Amino acid sequence: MMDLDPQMAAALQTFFEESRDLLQEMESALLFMEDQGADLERINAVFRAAHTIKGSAGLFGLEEVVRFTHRLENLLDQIRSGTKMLTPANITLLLSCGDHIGDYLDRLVSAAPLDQHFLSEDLRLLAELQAALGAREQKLPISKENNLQLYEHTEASSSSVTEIPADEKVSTSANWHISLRFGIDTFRDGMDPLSFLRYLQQIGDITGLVTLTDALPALPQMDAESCYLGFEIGFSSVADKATILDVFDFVKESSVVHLLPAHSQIGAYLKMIQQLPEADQHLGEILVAVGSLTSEELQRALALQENTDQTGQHQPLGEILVDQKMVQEPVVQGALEKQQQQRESQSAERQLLRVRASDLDYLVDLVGELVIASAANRLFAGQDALEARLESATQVARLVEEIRDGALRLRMIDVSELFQRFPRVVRDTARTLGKDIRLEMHGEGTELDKSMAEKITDPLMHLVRNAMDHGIEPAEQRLQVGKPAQGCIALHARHDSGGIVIEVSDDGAGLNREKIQRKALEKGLITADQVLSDQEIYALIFAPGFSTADKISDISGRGVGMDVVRQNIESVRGRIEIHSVSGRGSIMRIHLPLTLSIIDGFLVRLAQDTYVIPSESVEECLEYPKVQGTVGYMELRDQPLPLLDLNAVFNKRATDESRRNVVVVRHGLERIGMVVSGILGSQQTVIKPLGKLFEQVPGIASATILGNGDVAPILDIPTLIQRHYAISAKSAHSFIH
Amino acid sequence: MSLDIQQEVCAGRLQMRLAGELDIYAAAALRECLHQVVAQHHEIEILLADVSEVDGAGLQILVAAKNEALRQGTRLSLSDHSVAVVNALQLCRLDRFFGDPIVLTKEMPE
Repeated sequence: MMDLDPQMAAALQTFFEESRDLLQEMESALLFMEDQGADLERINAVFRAAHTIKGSAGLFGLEEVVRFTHRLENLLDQIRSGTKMLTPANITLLLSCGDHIGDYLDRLVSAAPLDQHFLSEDLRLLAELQAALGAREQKLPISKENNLQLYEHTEASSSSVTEIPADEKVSTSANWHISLRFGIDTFRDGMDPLSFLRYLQQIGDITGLVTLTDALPALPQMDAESCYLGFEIGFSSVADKATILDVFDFVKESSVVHLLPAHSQIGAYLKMIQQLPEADQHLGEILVAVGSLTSEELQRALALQENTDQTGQHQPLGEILVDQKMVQEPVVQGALEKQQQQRESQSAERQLLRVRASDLDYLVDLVGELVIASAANRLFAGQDALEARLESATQVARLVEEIRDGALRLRMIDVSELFQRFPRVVRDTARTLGKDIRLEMHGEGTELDKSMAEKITDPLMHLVRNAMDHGIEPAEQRLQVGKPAQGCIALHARHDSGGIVIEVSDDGAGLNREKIQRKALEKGLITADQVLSDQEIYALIFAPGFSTADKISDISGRGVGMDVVRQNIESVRGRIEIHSVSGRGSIMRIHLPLTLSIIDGFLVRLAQDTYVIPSESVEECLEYPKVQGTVGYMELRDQPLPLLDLNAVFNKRATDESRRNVVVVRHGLERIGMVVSGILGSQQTVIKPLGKLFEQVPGIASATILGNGDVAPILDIPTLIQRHYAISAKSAHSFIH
Repeated sequence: MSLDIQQEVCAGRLQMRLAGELDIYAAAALRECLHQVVAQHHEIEILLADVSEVDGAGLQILVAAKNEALRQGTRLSLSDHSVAVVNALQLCRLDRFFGDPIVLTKEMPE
């Protein structure tokens, strides 16, 4: 993997992405069929996905993937042809295989080693695939240790392989695959196919060749002067591609000529086979049995060896060339070609463009600058009081806003992409729990920011698992209360007033108010005389370390989670609320902003400077009370509201204290009144990251640039609230003592 | 015509001796001839010792004849391969397709 040139690395990156997409498609198709029964179209889709991954992996010399996927493909092929059924067991196996390939790709990306765990999973799945295939291929009795050892051995050799072709390209020869179908008039045009082959021998080595006579009619029907010949040729040469193609210059009009770089790993295998002391045949079979070589690859290795041994005496490996027909299969190259076509048509279908995320970020960033510049522009135009200039500035501002919206939309993904992994999660979790649960998804077409989608995946996953574990009752219990035995989890997405709402709902028992209250009392989160609304009680489950589960299961109930869920959601400036009806189920509703880079800001003044409070945390604005009771508190609708003087926090010396305001902000359960010098109104603000120097400043999350060019810090409300509570708790403490 | 075809029946088996250039110029005549004999005989041996040249057209006629023979249940074998024939068969890896022992300087593998 290392030392790839940038072009190769980029191609590899694309391969990883494509493969993940394909694995996802494969999984969706499998899950659909598990639910709705097998259909040929989806089986084909699964097959194509596996096949494409195999082909591409071959191009990159990812032998492990090729080898594994090949086995997978064998089973799929049998299912496709109807020899084997798509049983639930097979679906589970196929799903695990998909995971395994994904795992391998992840390891490649992160350069993690293939550890024992991976290898044993690999062997397990290969064995299961073998079993599912029915022991059709001959298996050798090899002990497990042996097996592993061999496995690692080939591992080593295949990693060295990546370097071999590169070296060879420079110094010696490259391997090619040539596919020839001569035109029917070749003889009449005065040319002989054999002379082309002879010429090839002069500029390189024909390492393998199969004469195709499929097009040859029966003797009575054939025209003796027409050419029906075709050849598949493995060719190794120092000549470059153009030189090789030039050989066929005379026939290129009338014939079909394909020249492709060959699947070059086999040479390395062959070398290894030859170098090891054991009998070639034995080793070859073992390699096939272990799965390091597919039988096709062995066949091709044999063809190569046959050639090196052309002097003819000794060909032990050649003996197991089971059936010559097998060599005739237009092996990987043909498949690759087809796959290339397939990919082209696929991408045409999708009409999508892959764009580097960093490029997009850069664009969005620039657009952010543009928004600021345009705001300044309009401000100055207004000052000049020139009608025409103001008009054009307004025009520009409008267009900039459109560009901004367009640029932000580029980062948007359909929520179905976020949802797509859930069918699998629900299926697997339901199995582990022994519950029958179906998943419903609504709101495809709703779009959200990609980085937001990434950050929200884990919390959603947790909520879904939680709902399945705690929400949905066991089947008996459901039947008793007159519900259908099958539980239902629903994921729902929709746009709502400039944001997105994602709901996880279940038709389970609902949250147990009393139980939560009891538990919260136990943990000292609330006091016995506190009067709490349902909402407030439900919100308690987001407190750190809170779990009402009586027994701890694998799925949930450890009490680490719900608080993390809330944190994660709030880190993208979202919030979560719970609605629950006892016996009917609950809904976890997540509100998210549309994007991470632009927020609705609430502008306030501290002394002479402008600060921004994210609008979503602002609850209301009040006038600073002239008469105060307890210092640091004010009364708000008969409730005490802690006050935080922001001027004091940021060491501002306010000059005019007469018209102060209080902005009530909320974070989670906590509410606080922030005392500011003045309120300037709300405005869309583009978030700019802070420089290194200011990253550590507590209470400031980021900054924005205002229309007049001033920098305005954006306040970090959660931190400010937490700090305030921590400080007041400390002072209360010291007061008592 | 540069290819000479001689036939003689010997112990119930047709021996067909080809001499000269087994190429495009001879292909039509050879096809005609083979077409007839494959239908008429149960065992045919084609002797190739005197074939001086083989091209793709000649080779493909032999392949077609072999196919036809297999279809009709006729035994068709090539023998006494000349160097030109062996080279052509090996070039196209067709020696195995015909499956006939090739006697040259050393034993060729089956």
